[in-house]
Amino acid sequence: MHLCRRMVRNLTHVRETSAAIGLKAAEWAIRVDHAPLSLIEEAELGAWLAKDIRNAGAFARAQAILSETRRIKALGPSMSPGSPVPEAVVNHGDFLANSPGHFDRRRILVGAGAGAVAASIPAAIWLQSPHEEEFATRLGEVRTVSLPDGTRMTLNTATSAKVRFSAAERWVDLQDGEALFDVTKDPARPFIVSAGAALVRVVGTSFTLRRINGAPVELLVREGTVELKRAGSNDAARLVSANMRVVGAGTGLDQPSEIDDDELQRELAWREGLLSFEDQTLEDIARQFERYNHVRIIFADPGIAQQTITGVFAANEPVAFANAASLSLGLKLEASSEAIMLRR
Amino acid sequence: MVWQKQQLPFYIIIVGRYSACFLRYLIEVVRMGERGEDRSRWLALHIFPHERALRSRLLRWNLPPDLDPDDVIQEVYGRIVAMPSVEAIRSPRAYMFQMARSVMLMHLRRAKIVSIRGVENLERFDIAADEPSPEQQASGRLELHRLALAIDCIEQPWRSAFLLRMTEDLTHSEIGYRLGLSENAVQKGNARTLVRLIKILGEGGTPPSDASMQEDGQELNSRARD
Repeated sequence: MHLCRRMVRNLTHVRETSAAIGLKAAEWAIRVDHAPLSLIEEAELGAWLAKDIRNAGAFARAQAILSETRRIKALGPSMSPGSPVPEAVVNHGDFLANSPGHFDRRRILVGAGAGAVAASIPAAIWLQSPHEEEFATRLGEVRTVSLPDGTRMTLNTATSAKVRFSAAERWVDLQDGEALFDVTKDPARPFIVSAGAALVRVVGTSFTLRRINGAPVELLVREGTVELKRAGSNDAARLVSANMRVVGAGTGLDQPSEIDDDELQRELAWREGLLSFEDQTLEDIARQFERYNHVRIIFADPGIAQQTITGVFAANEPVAFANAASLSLGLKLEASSEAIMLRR
Repeated sequence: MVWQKQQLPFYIIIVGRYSACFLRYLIEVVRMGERGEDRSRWLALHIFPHERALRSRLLRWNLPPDLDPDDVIQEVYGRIVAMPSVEAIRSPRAYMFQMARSVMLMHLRRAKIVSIRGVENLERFDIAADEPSPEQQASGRLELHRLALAIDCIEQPWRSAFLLRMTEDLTHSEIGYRLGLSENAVQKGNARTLVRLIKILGEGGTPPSDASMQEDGQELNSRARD
């Protein structure tokens, strides 16, 4: 009786399709490649491999191809997007003989000659060992740099950023300060900027990101749309479009607020070495000047600090600003080597 | 990781119905030791490039209804990896085709409904005539630029997820962080990408040699005579 029941159970065993097995095998191959398996996982894998000879075969096959794809690293630093593919790599005859249907128009391009090949080489083949570079500006310095993909990154005062480009992505870590990004469009590689807990991801657009000690992270989008996400969280990314500002707040991100073109221009005046203010308190302005200069602007009493002013000033001339402020508000100025004091 | 002695009996129970070869393979593969890696490389270089030709052959045979070309190929790999050593194999391609034939035969016998045509195909099968020329052999190898082109067929963000893992060895967690994906999504995504790459690359192997075309012509003629 007991034997009969077991036989019935075996008969009702459903045979899995080769497609399902292929996927499972790939999943296991990815897991095994990623990290050592736990004891339970090993037992699970062992049981699955033993269940059907096709499982063991599919697994070996998946592992073999996975190992082969790692060799793609070998395409190496000699290749860059603009340069033609070295003859050693391209073998026209071989490619045409073996190309399966879905390479379609690329196949035609490759057949046309070496020049056409360079034009049609996919992004994946630009496998330089990741290009890494660090940039930093001094106090009061503004500098524009060109990144390997043509993106222009303008660094404001006292800013440091680490750039890391690879075949899979374009990655910038804004360590401190403020930068404006005019990102070249490259759908094959996302452009990602991290600023502390904020993560901005774009394909091609223009935006600034500000990360200053003590202040929340601030994103300003000039053109296009960017994706903003809080690093490490599972919340969906937020889309922020042009003329919008988002400020990080505590554990979350504020709702995006709209800013008009004038305000956007003011926020970007630093590119010209200028600071532009409209009805801003002397205190806020003084704090901005501190980012660009060693000399601090201080106030004799809090009342003075709360007065507001409108104007455009050279970022590296705090004395000029203090003069302008004292003239328009009827204040007196006392300057020393470390500080400029405004008093009644 | 150290193979605990206490684990072995557990495995023997699971593997019980199958041969001891499987047990050896399990130990090897789960450890991913040196031998495991050599075997992987051997499969990629000497077996995988011939899949395309084997598939063409399998399509010409009348496979029983419960057996598709992928089943046969998976089983062929399964048998090859169960072998303790592949050094004795002179012609991996011929061996692979032979295995496929054997798998077919086993299934036909089990199925009890034997297609007479199916058996005929096998008996006329001439493996020796099927060796590809050296040029064909060279062109079937997994050329790096073919690999790059295959990867380019994968859409984003999965392409980046895969490349970040393969070329920069980031963890699934780190990749998820960068691309706005969960760790699980990265893992599943990479598995799907791998399946797709295997499919794209497998279809670009050595083309069936001309000899096999001729051979089929002969088969048709002899059937007509009967």
